[in-house]
Formats: sequence, structure tokens, C-alpha cells
Amino acid sequence: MVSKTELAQAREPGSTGGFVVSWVFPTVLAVALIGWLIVGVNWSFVRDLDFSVVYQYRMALLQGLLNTILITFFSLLLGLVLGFAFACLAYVPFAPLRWLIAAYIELLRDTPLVVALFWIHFALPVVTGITTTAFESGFIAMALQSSAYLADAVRAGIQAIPKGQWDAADALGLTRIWKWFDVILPQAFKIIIPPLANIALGYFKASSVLALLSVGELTTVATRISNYTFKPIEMFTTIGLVYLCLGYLLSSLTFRLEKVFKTAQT
Amino acid sequence: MNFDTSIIWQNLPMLLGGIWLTVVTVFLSLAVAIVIGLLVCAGTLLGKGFVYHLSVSYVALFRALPEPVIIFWLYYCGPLILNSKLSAFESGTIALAIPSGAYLAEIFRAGVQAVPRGQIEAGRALGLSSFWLVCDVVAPQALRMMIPPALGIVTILIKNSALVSAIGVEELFYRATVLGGQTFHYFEFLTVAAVMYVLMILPLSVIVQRQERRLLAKVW
Amino acid sequence: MILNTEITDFLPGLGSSRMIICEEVRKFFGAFEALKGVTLEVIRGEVVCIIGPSGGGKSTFLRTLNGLEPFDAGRIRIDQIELPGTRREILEVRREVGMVFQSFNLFPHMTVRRNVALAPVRGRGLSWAEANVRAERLLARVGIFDQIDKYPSQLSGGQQQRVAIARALAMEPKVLLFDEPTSSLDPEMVQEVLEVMRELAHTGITMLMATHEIGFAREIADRVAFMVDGTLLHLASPKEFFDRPSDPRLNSFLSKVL
Repeated sequence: MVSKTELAQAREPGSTGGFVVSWVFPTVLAVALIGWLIVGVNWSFVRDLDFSVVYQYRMALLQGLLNTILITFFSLLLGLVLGFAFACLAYVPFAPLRWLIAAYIELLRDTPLVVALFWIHFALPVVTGITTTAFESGFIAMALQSSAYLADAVRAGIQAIPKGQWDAADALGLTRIWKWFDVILPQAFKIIIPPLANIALGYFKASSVLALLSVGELTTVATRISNYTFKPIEMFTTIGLVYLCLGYLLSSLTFRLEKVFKTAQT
Repeated sequence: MNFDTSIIWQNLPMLLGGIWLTVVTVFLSLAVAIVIGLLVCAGTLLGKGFVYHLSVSYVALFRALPEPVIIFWLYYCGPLILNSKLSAFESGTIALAIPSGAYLAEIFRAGVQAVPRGQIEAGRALGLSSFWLVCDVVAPQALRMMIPPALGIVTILIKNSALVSAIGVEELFYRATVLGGQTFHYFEFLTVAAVMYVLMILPLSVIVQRQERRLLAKVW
Repeated sequence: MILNTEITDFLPGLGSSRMIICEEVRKFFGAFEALKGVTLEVIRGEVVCIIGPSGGGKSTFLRTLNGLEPFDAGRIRIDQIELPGTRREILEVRREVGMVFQSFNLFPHMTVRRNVALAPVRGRGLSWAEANVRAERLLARVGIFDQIDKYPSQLSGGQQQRVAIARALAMEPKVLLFDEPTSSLDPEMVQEVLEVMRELAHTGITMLMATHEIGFAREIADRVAFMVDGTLLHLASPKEFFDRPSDPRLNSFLSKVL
């Protein structure tokens, strides 16, 4: 694999190509960027910035943040349960069921979350007569879609377990249920943690999509306040920062989790 | 469960127009995203100091921000900050391209770095100039490795294109919800919309998964 | 062992009979000194084999000769060009010096034919037609002509290495460097590659190779060198080298491998 330093060494001294790329091109770009910043941007907006609105509506924003965390956490929990179920079902010897599950997973993966969201909220009542609140629709949509990705992750985790483990479990005479619960699933779980954390991070981001249905999470609240106070820059920049911070927290947590599980394995 | 197909046929032109706009949006966003991706990738690979840090920050920032936040930010804050007025379509296209560009930059970088060092050495040992080395040896191999994940980004882009309906771009999802609201046939229109998205994404998804399996097989 | 200066050295244009001149070449990887003042001269048409334990600097030394590794001190002259030179000079050196790698490094996305024809087209300005003719001739010479339109992944290791040799020969180099060319091969394929190298040695091309094939070195080398810990310890004719080794470390090495 070529590292950055190796790549730099591969680019040899005195090459005209290297000169153009390293100096001429960035300079031209920088000049263009600065030019655009001067001409295209109306800097008077800075004067009108008023971040007190953030403080003013802090309760609403915190409520929105709480909703984001709640809905992400619980929908992922349900998604994980469903995902495990699907992954285990994918191993049954009944071919049509396997096909059905594979098709179902693919369907969920290839639909935009917002489409699934609206379908559950508007179309499902027509089909089943059950109406759901926006929050419930959001919860179900996130749970279902995440279950598809999580099912894949779980399946990959199960496949990563050395075949010898299955043989050992069989040789010990464990029935199928105990084989799964005692031997396979615990080991799969360890392997699954990193991709699981990635999916969690992705869905934490995706919760923002629920704003299109005014589900009441952070982005919904921010949009509402921004439309009410006409201060979009303050609002959206703030929630942008909130998402970044939380995302960073989540990914460093993931990193630490990965380390813990790596040492536990070796 | 009554699926009223007649209502679909009645409004087919509207829906088809929506699909067309979705396709146009995806294409334009992708084009812009590729340009951004190439620039940022060059910044991470060849940039020194400020350029390098700027590029790396771009990738980190726009992979972490939720897409709706980027879309809303650009649409609502744009008129206040920029001197020129952006239409919803323009604003939405750019907002979609920004995070896609970040992901593509990472994919491009990974593709280039995956070319084995021995290839570059062999090319140099033969006396190939840097230009031909890149053209004949590095680029073909890097591109081969970039295509599957890049297709994955395209599927994400198609899915995200539904989000710009929130700012008024009349693509497929927008039209499906509007038609559903007008006729109270949400079930039919939303189902058709979902099916349309699946039809667009499924072939790409299949290719990506097949390539991933092939890559895994090679490694093993 | 430094040879006497020949009169041709003073007459530019006639070409020196001293193909490779290295004086006190040093190379550091950070704090680690990989080459500790290597001095070697190779005259035109000579076959020099470098043997020694792994990690002794054989590969590193070979790679300084065509500019793949920069060196930190000393002097290297290939034909008439002093390294490190300008960009143009380095390119010229690489076109005059061919290299065969331990891991073949064939271009996987090109057919065997294109692998061999590429460099002459890009570096010597041949047309694709001319380069193809040359490729066919060379591939026939190394015995791979029937695989000419296959891809490297479809070939065995021995076949790939022979293609690599043809690829290096396509530039009509004055010097061929071999970096442990048979070390990655399954034993049954080593002979086919050595056979090609044997034939090349008899054509009079200057060859410098790092190898573990002691018997082969004994057979075809004009001189054999022993390299360990970044130092060229012993350089002699095969007879002197193997039958009357004077260096104690060379002794112990030979006793382990022979």
C-alpha cells in the first residue's frame, strides 16, 4: 500500500508536473476562492448575527435534542433485535423464506428513509387502518430501515466466525438453540460491534431526515424556530455544531469500544 | 387493500417529470461532487500544510453533518450570505454535492493508495515518465478499485435526492406526496415512488455487492 | 577490487568499458545505516552476483543504481551519467538499466504483450506496431510467445518472471539488475527462469544480480560479491570465492548454505 510519504517520494524532485500540482494549481484555486469570497459574499450578515435566539429557545432545542437521542437509541435497539432475527432466519433451510428475507432487506436498503417514513405515516393507515403519530412513524421507519443494515452486519459477523466453532459445538452435541446462544451469537457480537457503531452513527445523522415530517427532533425544532425568528444562520449553524459534537462523541466512544473488544479477543 | 392503478395512469406525466428531475439532480450533483472529490483528494494526497489540513477537515466535516442540515443551511442562509440568489434546485444540487464530494474524496484517495508500491517501482524502473506512469499504470488500477464504492455513493445520492423536496424541488418524492395529498391516494403514489427508487437503486446495489464479493474472494 | 582506468575513459563518445562505478555509497533509513560505504565497479559485459544473508543491503544497493532509492553519500556513475542527476538524466539511466523484481511487478491490467511493449512506446518513441514486433521477438526468446495475449494473473510464477525479464529487455538496456529474481518462485519453476538468465549471460550484456542461488552464481558469474550488514565484504572470482573463502563471516555463511 502506498503511504503518503511513499507517494511523495514517488514524485521525484524537479518534475514540472509536481511543480504545477503543488504550487500553481493551489495558488490559482486560492486566488479564485478569495476572489469569490470578496465578490460573492455579502459580509454584512455578520453584523446582524444574534445568537441570543439560541439561548432564548434553549428549552425547545434541548427538547429536540432529547427527542433525537431517544428516537435514535430506541429505534436502533429495535432495529438490532429485528436485524438479529432476520440474520438468524436467513439460515433456515427453507429456501422461499430465505429469498423473502433477502428481498425484504434489499427493499428496505434501496428506499430513501424519507419515503419509508411517509409511507408508514400516510400509506400504512390506508392498508391496515392503524394510524401513527409522526413520532411513532419516525420510530418505526428508522427501526425497520436500520434492521436491514444491521441484519447484514450481523450476517457478516456470523460468517466471520471460524467454521471450527460450529464443528466443536456440534461435536459437543449442543442442540441448535444452545449452539446459537452459547457459541455463535456471543462471538458474532464481538465482531459486529465496529460496523454496528458505524450504522448507529449513520442513523444518528439520519434522524435529521425525520424533520421532513415534523417529528419533533432537533432539526424539526431548529427549522421551526428559524422560520419564526428569521434567524436561520444562528439556528442551523448551532444545530450543525451540536450534530458534529455528538457525532464526534459517538465515534470516539466507538473507537474506545473497538479497542476494548480487540484486546478482549487476543 | 385496494390499489387504484387508474389514478396512477392519470397522473403518469407528472410522475415521470418527477423522475426526470430526480435523474437530472443526481447527475448534476454527481458531476459537482466528482470535481469536489478530485480537488479534495488531491489536497489530502499532494497538499502540504494548510492545503492538506483544509482538505482533511473538509472530509471530516461534511461526512459528519446530516444532509438535511446542509440542505436547509444552504437554502435558508444562502440568500442572507450570498450576493447572488440561488434557486431551490441550484441550492439543493450543491447541498447534495457537498457531502458526496467528501465521500468521493475518500474513495479516490483509497483507490490511489491501494495501487501496490511495486507497480510504481516497476514503471519507474522501465524509465516511464511520471505522466505515463500515472496514465498507464496507476490510474487504470486505481479506477478499477474506485468504481464499486463510487457506485455506492451514487445510490446514496439517489436516496438523498428525495430530501430536496423539503425546499421545493419538484422531483419524484415531492410530486408523489403532493399528488397523494391532492387525491388522498397516498398509498398508491407513495408505493409507486418507493418502487421507482428501488428500480433506480437496485441495479447499482447489485453491482456493488457483486464487486464486494469478488474482492473478498480475491483476498481469501 | 578496482580495475585500472582504461584509455577509453578519456575519450568521450566511445563509451566507457566501466559500466557501473560505485564509490563509498552510503544510505540511511532514518538512523539505520543500510549501506555503509559500498565500493564496486562493474565492467561492460560482466556478470556479477551478490550473495549474502537477507537484510544485508543487497536489494537496497541494487535500487540505488537505477535511482529507485536515493543515496546519502558517495558516488554512483552508470555508463556516463552521474547519479543523482537531473530529471532527464535519471530517466535516461532507467532506460539504460533494466530491473527484474523479486515480486515480478507485472502490470495486472495489461496483457503480456502490452506489458512488454509499453515502455518502448512511452520511453523510446516507438510506434505500437514496432513495439509489438519487438515484444513478440523477446517473448519468443524467453519462451512465452504462446501466452502473449494472456493476462499476468493467468500465468504461473515462472512464466510471469520470464515476462518481466522480456519487459526489461524491451528497452534494450545496457545493464540488467536482478533483485532476487527466483526467491518468490516455487522450486519447480526456478530452473526455467535461471535458464533464461543463463542465456542472457552468454549474450554479453552486463548483469548484476542479488540471488540466493549459490550454484547458479558459481556457474555463470565472472565475479561474486558477499554483502552483509550493508558492507561489501568480499569480491572475487567464483573459484577464489567458493574454494578459498578468506573472510570468516563469508565462511560461516557458506557453511550454512552449501
